[in-house]
Amino acid sequence: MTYQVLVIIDSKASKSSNLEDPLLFSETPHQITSLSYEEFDHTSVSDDEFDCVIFITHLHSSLPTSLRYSLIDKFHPTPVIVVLDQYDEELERKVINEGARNCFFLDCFDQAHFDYAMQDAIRLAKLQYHSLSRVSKSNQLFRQLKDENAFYDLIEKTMPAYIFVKDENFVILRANDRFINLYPEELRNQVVGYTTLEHYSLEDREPFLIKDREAFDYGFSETLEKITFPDGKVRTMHTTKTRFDSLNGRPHILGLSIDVTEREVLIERLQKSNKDLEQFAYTASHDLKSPLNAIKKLVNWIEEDYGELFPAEVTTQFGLIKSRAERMSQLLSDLLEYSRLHKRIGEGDYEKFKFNEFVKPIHALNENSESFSLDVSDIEVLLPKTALNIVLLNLLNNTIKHHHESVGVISIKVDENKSGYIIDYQDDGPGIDDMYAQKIFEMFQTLQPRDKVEGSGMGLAIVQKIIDYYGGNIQLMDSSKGVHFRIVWPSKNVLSND
Amino acid sequence: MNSNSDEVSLLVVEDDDIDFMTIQRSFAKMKIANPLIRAIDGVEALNILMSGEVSKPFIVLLDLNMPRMGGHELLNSIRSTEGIADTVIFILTSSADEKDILKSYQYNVAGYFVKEEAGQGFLEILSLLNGYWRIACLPKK
Repeated sequence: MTYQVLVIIDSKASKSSNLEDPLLFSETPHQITSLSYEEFDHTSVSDDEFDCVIFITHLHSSLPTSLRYSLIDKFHPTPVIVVLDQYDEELERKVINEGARNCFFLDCFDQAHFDYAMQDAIRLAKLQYHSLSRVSKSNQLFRQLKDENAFYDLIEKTMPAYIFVKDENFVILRANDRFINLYPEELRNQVVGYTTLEHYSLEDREPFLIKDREAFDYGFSETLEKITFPDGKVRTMHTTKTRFDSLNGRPHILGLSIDVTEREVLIERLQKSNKDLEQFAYTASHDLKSPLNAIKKLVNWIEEDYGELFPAEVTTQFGLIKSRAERMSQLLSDLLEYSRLHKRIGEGDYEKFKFNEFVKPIHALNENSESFSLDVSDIEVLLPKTALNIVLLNLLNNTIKHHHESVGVISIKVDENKSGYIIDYQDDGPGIDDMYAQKIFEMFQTLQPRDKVEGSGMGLAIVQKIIDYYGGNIQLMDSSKGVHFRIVWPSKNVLSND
Repeated sequence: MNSNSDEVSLLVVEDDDIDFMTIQRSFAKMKIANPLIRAIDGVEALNILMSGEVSKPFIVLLDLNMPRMGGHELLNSIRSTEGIADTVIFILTSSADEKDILKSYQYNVAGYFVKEEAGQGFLEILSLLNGYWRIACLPKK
């Protein structure tokens, strides 16, 4: 390493005394910038440019002593070494006192000693510089910490949550303003440092403590609670409590409570309106059935009693009345089934079973099923049986009912992946035009007149409702022949999201 | 064989005219000559039972959903009223609800039938009843 050395020469001194450069024979690697005092006075020298400053001057220099010393000050913390032409004990003392690192005399100059002193001064200065920078670094860290604290304070203030910290005795150690403002004004200075339990009803208190204890014992607790706050408001809160170790090693819990009252009210309303709707569909389809049954019976009786007397036209029309009544009855039955699907599949428990063995008996339930061959994946699956049964029965029934030939081939391939199952259902029937890809899943939609092919148009709506219930989906895929449905059926763990 | 089989009356508690007509037609079809009495709801049925209008032995065929007083209510009244608590009752309803079935049997009904949409099923029920009162011994006093 080469030292950068600034040599300043008191020119008057150098002229009169012919001072020699003390670094001329130095073995310390260095690079010199040499300036006369006058030159130096007029140039600006930055203080971190040099490792060391050598100031050469005359014992009887015309430069006022004070000026010399201010020069030493000027370079601080860069070390300054003063070199005088003659030894003078008093002057040496003065120079050192003013802060020069060392003082040498040309009349008794020792090159090795000077080199050593210079290196030493530089080393010392560097050490000082490092320790200084360490201090400034810790100052900087302190500032950063303050910054960060201010940032967290801001979060604490603006977050729409009630934040609090409790110790093992359930005493509140810290709380954000939002939390403290839950208390009436006269109580707000009695929140931190207190349990505040006495401000809650007995019914509210016990669950708090149970969840606190749970968090202390297991590290975390979570609850949805309806609380009557000290200010009288009743709110539904979603609260999590997380244990952490404080600086003194004691366990504390951090509580984070979010007001979910509106959300819960909406959910409740939605559930109720869904239930109402199901109840409506159930009642409507059920109650509409009984007058229809009465009509069907009366028609039958008339035919039984007077059928022989009918002219041919009336017999035909009677047949039509009966078939329409039968159709309406079917529509109502399917609507009834649709409205009761959730009830029917119940909890819809997932079971393990062989897929191909499961499909065969379902297929056999349909008329003419023996003319339609099945190609089903031989795979063990974990799926809800009742629900899958309804889905497959409807798909298979559609294939057979709508097939343009009297025989056909149906393939059901099941692939398992991380998130669940992909079921590809493919037949060789007439297929479904792309433009109906959405419509077919709507209620009461049929693609052929009901007089041609009897059907309520509820089959695929039922299928979709079931698959929706399990968080999956079904879609019509592009297919060169026949129909191709792809069902994505999530596995249980994906659904329950824990 | 119960020698009094012809005397067994059937009290039908049914609000729907056509449902009652169905029973009448089926009686005629099966040539059952036993007396057939109708009450249009629970209130009327209770009055008939209390007044002793229908002579024993008889059995009751009861619908569940009716205006004024429904089947379950009537069952409750019958079972808690002295003198008629021993009435033999069959349920004939359109409800296949598990809860309705359970509740009915808790009132000790003799049987629970769900009304079929088509007529054929009803003939079976009637022939069962016909066999029942011919073979079973019923309370006569």
